[in-house]
This record gives sequence, structure tokens and C-alpha cells, in this order.
Amino acid sequence: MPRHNLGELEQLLVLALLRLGGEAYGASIRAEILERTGRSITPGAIYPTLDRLEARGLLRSHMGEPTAERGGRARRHFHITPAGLREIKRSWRQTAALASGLRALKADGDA
Amino acid sequence: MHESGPPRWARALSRVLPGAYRAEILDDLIEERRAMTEAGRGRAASALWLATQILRSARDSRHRERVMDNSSKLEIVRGFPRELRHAARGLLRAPSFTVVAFLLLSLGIGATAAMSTVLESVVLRPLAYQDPGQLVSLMHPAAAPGSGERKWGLSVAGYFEFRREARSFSELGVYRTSAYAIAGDGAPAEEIRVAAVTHTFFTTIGARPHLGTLFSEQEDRPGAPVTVILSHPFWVRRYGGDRNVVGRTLQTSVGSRLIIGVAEPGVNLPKPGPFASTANLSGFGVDVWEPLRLDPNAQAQNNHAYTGIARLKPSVSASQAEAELRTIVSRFPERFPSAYSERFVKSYNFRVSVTPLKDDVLGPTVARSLWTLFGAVAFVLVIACANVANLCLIRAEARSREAGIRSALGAARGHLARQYLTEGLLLTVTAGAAGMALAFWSLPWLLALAPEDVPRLGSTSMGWRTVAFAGFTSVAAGLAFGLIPLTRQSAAADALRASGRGLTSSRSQRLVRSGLVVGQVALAVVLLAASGLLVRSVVALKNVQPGLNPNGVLAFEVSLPFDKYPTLESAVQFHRELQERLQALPGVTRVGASTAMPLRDYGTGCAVVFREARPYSADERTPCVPIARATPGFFDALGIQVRGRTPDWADVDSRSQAAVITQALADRLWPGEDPIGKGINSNGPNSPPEMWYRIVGVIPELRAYALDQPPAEVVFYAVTDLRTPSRAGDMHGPIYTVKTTLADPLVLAPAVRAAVAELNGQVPVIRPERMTDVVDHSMARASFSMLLLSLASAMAILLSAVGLYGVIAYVVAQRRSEIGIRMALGARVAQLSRWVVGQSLALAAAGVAIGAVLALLTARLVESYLFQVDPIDPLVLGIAVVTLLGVAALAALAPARRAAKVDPVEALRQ
Repeated sequence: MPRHNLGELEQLLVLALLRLGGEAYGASIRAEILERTGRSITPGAIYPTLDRLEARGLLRSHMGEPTAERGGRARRHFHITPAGLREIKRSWRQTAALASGLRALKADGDA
Repeated sequence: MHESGPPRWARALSRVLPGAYRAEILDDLIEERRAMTEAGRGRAASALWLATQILRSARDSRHRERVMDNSSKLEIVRGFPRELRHAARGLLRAPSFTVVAFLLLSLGIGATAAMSTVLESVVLRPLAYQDPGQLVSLMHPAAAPGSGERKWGLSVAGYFEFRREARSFSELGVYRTSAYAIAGDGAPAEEIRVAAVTHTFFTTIGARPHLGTLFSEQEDRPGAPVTVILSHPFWVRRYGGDRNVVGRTLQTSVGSRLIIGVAEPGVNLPKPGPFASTANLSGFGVDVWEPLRLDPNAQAQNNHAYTGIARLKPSVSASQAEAELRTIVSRFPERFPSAYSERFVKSYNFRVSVTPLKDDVLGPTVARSLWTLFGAVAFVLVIACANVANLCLIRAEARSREAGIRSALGAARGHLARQYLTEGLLLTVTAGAAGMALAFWSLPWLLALAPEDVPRLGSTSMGWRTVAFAGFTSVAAGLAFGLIPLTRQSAAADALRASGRGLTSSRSQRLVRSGLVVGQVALAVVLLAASGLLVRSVVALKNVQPGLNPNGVLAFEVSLPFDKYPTLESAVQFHRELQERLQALPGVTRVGASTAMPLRDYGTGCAVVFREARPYSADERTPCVPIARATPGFFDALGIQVRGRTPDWADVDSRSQAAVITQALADRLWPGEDPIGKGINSNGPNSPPEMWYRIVGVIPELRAYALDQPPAEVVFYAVTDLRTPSRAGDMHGPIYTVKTTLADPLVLAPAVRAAVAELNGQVPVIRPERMTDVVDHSMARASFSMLLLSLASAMAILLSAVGLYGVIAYVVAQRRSEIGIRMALGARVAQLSRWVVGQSLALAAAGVAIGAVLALLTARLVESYLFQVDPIDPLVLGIAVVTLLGVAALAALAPARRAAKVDPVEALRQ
């Protein structure tokens, strides 16, 4: 499969996953993104994207223990793979490299 | 309150979510909603939130799924092999269509690519020099009375004058070509081609040494010892690429020379020198370079033996440079009164020309003939494409039902389009590749047939232009053929709506198909008319009486070493002995030798001739004609008719100074008088009596230059010189003519070599050939053009027949029921056949009419290749018209027979 960079939503998901200690499930990722960025991402957007990342070998998932909160059903836990870590570092380095020293971005941040 | 699962309505609503994620999404949302209600949100608010989230999730996931599905470019790339497999299967399902279309296209593209390779190599590719666009050739056009308009080379004085005065050039060099034999090193004696150049020549063309050095001013001084530079191919051939060759000596028939370097590969002359034979330009190459060592202080002579090449300064054009040289040349009479008189300049129309080097190398006709031949072959390709387009139309109709059903079942128009385009491209690109392979393999055959006087033919190779041309043609044709079924799609929908019987082709489709056939026939008429003109032209050439009899004559050259034969007399003694030995060989009837061979070596230089006791008057122009020497036996051996007698050995012994001239020259010098007994020379009008050759014989007619040129004005002097000591060199490289009774005189070659070796092992026998081949070569260009055009028109006729057959057969098949009705109503078989043949003839007649007009319009294009044939030739055009009408009738025969076999009952039942 030809390599291509992580998309914006993919980056958000992987970063949120990392913030959550590299181990999380759909609803917690959603909550983390909402809390940090104020963006509400529907589970309808999250699951296909997580599946795609898993297909690319950047994430792994496993079913957890059944929980009461889900009416006795199991949560699907995601955790990041070394490849995923490399990929997000690469993507982030690119973004940072492009953004570094840009006055327009700073001014915006200050304002 | 404890809700364990999602409410029923949410479950129902969740069906809008994609199945794969439905449960997970719903579980997440329910979990969150529970957290919300526990945090105190109202039931209604949280229910509204849940509903919104489900719907938004559905939107987001759908959107995302589609993106993944199409991830567009990627998908097309991944889908491509599948698309190709589909296309291949589609083509294989219709094997007869595929095979015929493939053959038509690959033949058409192959023929065009082969011709385009020749065109590219000879005409389009720049010369293989550094910045070739700056190089120009310097010549002196002059119209010499007696030998016509020719391009002379530069003189020594001119070279130095131009170098000193002209500001247009960054550098300027001259050269001339010759040949001598080399021997020694244990290798057999061989003749090598020599270019003598000024040291400025190499800097002009931008050449560099491979080993050692190129010539400096030092080596190019008059009186300096002769050094040589080997050409790269010669170095490899003769010395096996030995790097220690520099500093060694080359033993030649004209003395030994110090080797000072080897030139880079590819360093070569653009063309032979002005006095060299141009009979074989295709493989022209230099073996050894020598410095010319011209003397800037020598007295100016009117001798134009040097080809000039110059490099224009940037931003100077050839015409600007020519204007500057014109001014310089206009001062020649005052600068060099000994060589150039005002009268000479005026009566010879002596000028100077600066021509882009490539134009000069190609000459005036080569580019045009090759473009014309390419055009002819391209016509064939167009005809082939028209045929394939016709086949595609027929096939598209057959498939329109299938396409209709598929689009009715929801196949996207884009998808169908992609499939058809892939099919079209698969067909044409593979056919294009096959055509390129065909061109590649057939090229050596084509080149073997090609005339040898075409420059640069030896370096023919397929280049990017040809590959680009074939690639573009293939892809364009593929796209066009792929689009044809799409134009049928709207028709297909109608067809579905109509009943099964309604699948007849519409009027417009028939018009398109007929138009394609009419176009083919028209192009075929044009090609056939053009090749007919050339055939007549070649026949006319063959009927020209050259004034000699080439049958059974073997021709070859020898090259005598100067150190062994320092004088004319010693060389002549060798020839006398050799002639006696050759004469004794079985099958030989007569032997002679001459310094120039008619139909091969003439037309390159001339010398002024004077007549005894009658100086040219002021209004008479001094003739300049080719001069040759001939040994006794030459005229008999070559079958040249001579009135009077020819010089014999007694003339040589007694130094009677016999000469033979042609009637054409006699008419110029002594109009209305018998020239026999009169005196002629090239020394001057006021020479003493012993300084004149005596004319003993007159040749009624001799085509010395070419068959299509008027009888030549030429002189043959005996092999004795007027001056003593004689000028050496005249008879050191003559051409022998050996008349035999053999069917193939070439079988004599080994015996000739043996006889020469017995006399002197250092004398090489060069290029033994049949005189009939020499004559054939002289019309090789015309024959080659005729052959190619005939091939092209034969293909065009064949393809038109196929096209006509296809359309008529289709019409018959489509009209089965109509034919059935006619039969049921009592139409006779003969009537039906006439009707079918009439259809074909009607199409052909339209094509022939258009073609005849086109042929008349394009006749001017071939005019320059014609000999004694009017470009508008009613006979040729008539034959072309009748041939194509006949082909049309023939092409309709099989469909007519099929029409006659239609069973009316069955046809009507359909």
C-alpha cells in the first residue's frame, strides 16, 4: 500500500489516543477531543477512521471486559503501535517544521 | 431508573448507520447519554441529542465510506488490470474483428514508422556537431558554359581572403577529400578515404582528439612534414584500438606519415569534397585526416577544389554572412587579377553562397522526396485507420443492444466509456507496438533498397520523433476508436425501445461509413496516380540510351603508390602490362581504363578548354568541361560508340596526343564543322603547336552525368601529357572497365585480384562492381521512390477493397429482408447482383471523382521526380480510375453472390 500522510482527523484521533496513555476506546477519544479542542466528532466519523488506521497497522484493537455502562457489552479498546507512533511523529514534525517561525501563526495565537 | 439498552426508537433510527459500525456507535452514544442524564440533563434533551448524534454519525460514516471506496485515483489504478482483462476478453470475443483491425493498424503504423525513421535520421536530426545550427557551408555557385550550373568549392586565395576579411564567422576551415592505398603491417593493401583539412577545420566543427592532438598551425604550414590523425573507426579497425599508435608511422602509397592523434568518435566530414564522387553518400566516412598545408603567399589560382565550412558568430545569420562575402568576392578581380577577370565573373556568373550546413548536406531534393514518400505512407495509415473505424462502427452497432441493456440496468455511462476506451487503447497500443517492431525489423531491408547517394542514410536509427509519432498515433487512434461506440449509445437506447427488428443502422451512420470508404478510395487514387507517374518516369529513364553498353562489363579501381610509380609514364606502363594480363583472362574481350566513369564520377569539377587557332571572342563564354584520360581499349570495353578512331598504344608510344570529345562539345566549339583533326587543350589559347591534343574521334552521345541529364560535353585525352616532365598523379587511381562474355562479370574479380597482385602486391583492387549496377545506381533514387510509392498504392488498393467489401457486405446483410421481398416479387438474380455491385460502384465513383481532383492538385508535388512525363497524365489518371472501379466491382462480387442466395421465405420470416 502506498504510503500517505495522516489526514487531519487521523492526526486528531492518534494524538487523543496518545493523551489517553496510548490505550482508549471510542467514547473516551471523542470526549478527549471535545475537551481539548471543542470539536464534537461523531462516532460515525470516528469508527471508520479508527478501522482504517488499524488496517494500516498504526493501531491495534481488542475487546475489553463487558461493562455495566454498556448494558453488559464489551468496549473495544484501541492502542497505538510502534508504526503508529512513528507515523504521528513524522506527521507532527512536518507540520511543526512548516509552522515554525511563522509570524502569522504566532500573532493568531497571541490574540 | 436503570436503562440497560438503547430505547426502541433509537434502535430503529440506528438502521441509518452502516451495519459494520452500528452496534459500536450506538453503544458509545448510549453510554454517553447515560453520563449526561446522570449529570442532570433532561430526558427529552438527551433524547434529542441522541437522535441528532445518530443522524450526524450516519452522515459522517457514509461520507467516509464513500471516500474510502473511491479513494479515487488509487481505485482506478487498482482497477486497471481488471479493466485490461475485461478489454482483452472483449476483443477476443470478436476474433475476426480484432485480427483484421490489428493487422491493418500494425501494418499501417509499421510502414509509417519505418519511413519516419528514415525521414528523422536523414532530414530532421541535427548534424552531429557542436551547435550545428551555427555551421554554414561556403561555396561558389557558377554557371560554366559546357557543364552548366554547379556549386564550386573555395579557392586557396578565397580561403585566406575570407579568413582575413570576413567578420561574420568565428572560425572558417576548408577541406578536400581523396583516397590512397596503405600497405605494410602485414595487412593486405587497402584503399583509405582521406580528408585533407586546414587546422581551422577542427576548431570550426568543434572536434576534439581522442588520443594525441589535432592539427595546430604548426603542422598546417606549407612544407611541414605530413602528419596524420586517424579517425576513431579506422583506428579500431586497423589498429585494434591500440593506445600506443600515436608516434608511429603510417605507410601509404604516397609516402609515410607520422600519426599524431586519433579523433573522437563521430568526428567526420559533413559531405565529400567538391571534386569527389557523390555516388555513395550513405556510408560516407573519413579514415585518415591530413593537414592541407596551404600557402597563404602562393599566387592566386582559379581552382575551386576546397569545400568551405564556417561557424557563424552568434546573432549573425547566413544571409548576412553571404552579403558580407559578396562584397569581398566583388573585389576578387582587383585583388587577384591573375585568377579572376571581370569577364570570368560575368560570363560564368561566378557568385558566393552561404548555406546552412544541413541544407547543403541534404541538397535540394532529398528532404522533399523523403517528405513526399512519408506522406504517401501516411496516406496508407489514414486508409487503414478509416477501415478500422468502419469495422468499429459495425461492431458498435452489434454491441449497441448489449450496451443498451447494460445502461438500462444501471451501468454508469462513465463505466461503459472507460471499458470501450480501454478496449480501443489496448487494440491500438499493441498494434502500435507490433508496428514499431515491424518497422525495426524491416528497416534494414528498406535501407538495402535505398539509393546510395542519399546522405546520412548510414546512420539511420529509430529516434524519439518516430517513437513519439507512433505512440501519439496509437493513442489518438485508440481514443477515437474507443469513442465510436459511445456515439452509438443514444441510438442504443432507441434501439431497445424499438423492436428487435428495428436494429437497422440509421441514415447518418450509413453516411459516415460510406464517407470513410469514399475517402479511402480517393486517397488510393491519389497514390496510384503518383506511383503511375513514377513508373512511367522510370520506364522513360530505362529507355534513355546512355551511349555506352554496360552488359558484361566489370568495373574496379586500382591505386598505385607514388613512390613506385613517380611519373605518368611509369603508371601508364603498369596499366599497359595489367591490361595485357587481364586481356588474357578467359571470357575477357576488351580492357581499358579511365580517370572518370560515366554515370558515376562526372558532374563534380571542370577545367577550361581552348581551341587551337581560334581564341574565344569577347562575346563568347569560355567553356569549362570535365576532362578525363582514357587508355587504349577504354571506349571499346565500355561500348562507347566513337566516330573516327580511338587512341591506341601507338599513339601513346609516339606521343601523338590524341583526344576524343563528345558531339555536344564539338557543337559548342566548332558548330557546323567536323572537329576531327582540330586542336584542343587546357593550357591556353596561344599555346605553340606541340601543346595541343588532336581530336581523332567524336562520341555521338554520352550521358556522363546522369540518365536524366542532356548529353554531356566532355573530353578524353590520351594517357600522354603535353608537358614534360608530365604531371604525376593523373593515372594513379583510374577505373578499369573489363568487357567480358560472362553473364555475371563479378565472378572475374578473384582472377583480377590475382593478376594485379602478380604485378604489384601493394596495389589494391577497389570496389569491383558490375557496370550494370553503376547504371542502375544512377537511377536508384527514381527507382526507390517508384518502388515505395508502388508498395504504398498497392496497399492502398488492397485496403480500399477491404473497406468496400466490408460496407457492401454489411449493406447486404442489413437488407436481407428487402432483398427477400424483391426476390419474392420476382427480381432476378442478375438484377440483384447488379444492384449490389452498383452500390459498390457508386461509392467508388464518388471516391474516384474526389481522388482524381486531389491527384491533379498534388501532381505538382511529384513533378520534380519525373523524367519526360507530364505531371498531369491522362493515361495514368485513367488507369488509376479504372483500376479502382474494377476493384470496387470485384469487392462487391462476394456480397452479390450472398445476396443471390438469400432465401426469401426465411428472410421475410425474420
